Amino acid sequence: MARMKFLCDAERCTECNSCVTACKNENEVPWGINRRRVVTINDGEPGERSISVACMHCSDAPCMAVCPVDCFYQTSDGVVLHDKDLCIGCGYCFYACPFGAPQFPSTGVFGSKGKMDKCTFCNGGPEEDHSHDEHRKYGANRIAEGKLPLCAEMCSSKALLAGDGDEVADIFRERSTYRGAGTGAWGWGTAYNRKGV
Amino acid sequence: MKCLSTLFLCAVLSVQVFAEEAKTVDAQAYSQVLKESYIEEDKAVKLPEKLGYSGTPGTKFWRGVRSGISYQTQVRGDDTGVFINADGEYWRLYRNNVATVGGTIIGLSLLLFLLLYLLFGKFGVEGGFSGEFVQRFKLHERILHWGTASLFIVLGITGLILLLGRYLLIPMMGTETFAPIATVAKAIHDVLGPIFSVFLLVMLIRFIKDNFYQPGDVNWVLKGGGLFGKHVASWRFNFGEKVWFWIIFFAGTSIAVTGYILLFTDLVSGQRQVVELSHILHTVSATLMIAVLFGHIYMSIAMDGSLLAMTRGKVDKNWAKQHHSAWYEGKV
Repeated sequence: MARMKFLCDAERCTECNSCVTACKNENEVPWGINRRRVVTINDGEPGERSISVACMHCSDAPCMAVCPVDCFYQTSDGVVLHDKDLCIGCGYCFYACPFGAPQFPSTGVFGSKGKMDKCTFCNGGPEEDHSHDEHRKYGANRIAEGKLPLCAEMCSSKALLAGDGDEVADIFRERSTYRGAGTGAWGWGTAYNRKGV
Repeated sequence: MKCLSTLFLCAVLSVQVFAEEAKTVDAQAYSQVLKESYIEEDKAVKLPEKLGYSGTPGTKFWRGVRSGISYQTQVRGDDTGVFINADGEYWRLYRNNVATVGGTIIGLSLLLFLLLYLLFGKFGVEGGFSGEFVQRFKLHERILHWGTASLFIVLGITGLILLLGRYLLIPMMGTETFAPIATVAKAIHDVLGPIFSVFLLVMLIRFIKDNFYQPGDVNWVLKGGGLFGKHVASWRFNFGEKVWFWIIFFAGTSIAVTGYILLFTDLVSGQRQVVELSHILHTVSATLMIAVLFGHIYMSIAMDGSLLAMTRGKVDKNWAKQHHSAWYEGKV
């Protein structure tokens, strides 16, 4: 059983934001906090690509490494979660995270940002599974029900994949092979001097 | 027999020749195709430069996602348009390094001065104390000093809890006990910080006049500040005290300025490097000041009769003659 991973297929993502909406709805995320976002590169130009970004549940998570109160932990599936009761709202995890996954409820006077909130891979938190407290603080716990995160389930083009890392990688590999990588392979033009081909 | 073998040989050879010919033809055709498909730079179809040569996103395209450019996104917020923040990892590594190195420096400094005090005890005054006093610090100067000092000590302790708590306190008490302590420490640190900055500003203005270089300061250093027996003259503040003042001036100012940036990060949204840099500067300056502070405290206790200057505002005349003779002569 490999680690749980997200993978967003940039060739399929249509920027529909279904993943964003699904996440907000399922986890009852308050106003102003967005656990997931879709970033579109070169919007409107040829070669536009969109990617859905949320917590990537890093194997060696920088947020976990920098937290002054050590409130992060990692499940056996590789999902990075944190304890809101321990969080002091310092914001260090936001600065350490390459993906900007940690979100804070308020800009706060005197640096009081509030408790950090982020994508939990629909795996809840340290509270007891399916308890009222867990739902209120962390949102849905679909993994405990044997389901996968709703963002990936709701993705309209199956661009966003979530689940067992090996299986996700297999699916993406098949897609890349089927789509063909020839002229799409990075460095093709440089290697074969085929400008314009 | 001979005839058959010759025939056979001819057949084999001829097949080979034909095969060679066939291979040659294919190779020729292939290289022709290659030559024809090669397009000169100026005749090539112009594709957007950022895509790279082949028309689908390549390295040129994807390189941008790490560069901190803010792209299009429906989600409004701090840096939401940025896909990957590459510098956050460096900040984390710097911070953890500063924490370990800085913590070690503070620990070593504390140990050093404790050791010095245990070894050499108090340094008395030549001829003992006279019992007659002369005023050194006025009341408002003492209030400024103790106000700044006590604020700094509380800020230093709460700051160190945030910097080193994970490495030193959590192993002792666990995360459940430490988290409320850290919450309170952060709240205190955030509130006292601006108050400290005001005290610091006023104190720096009040004391700067006597802390510029004066003739004789270098001489004081070269003579070891009177440590090796021979008396050496000094003004109101000797060279060591002046160095301490300027450390407070630069490190303290940088702590205050970076502290304000860290308190109001939403005012610098979209410039996360500013916050990251401020955090590192804040930590480095604070660590430096705490380490040298132990020296300041040591001096005030080990030099017998010095502490009285800040508590009561007056010093013994013999103390003044030994430690700050030029200043004393100016007073009487």
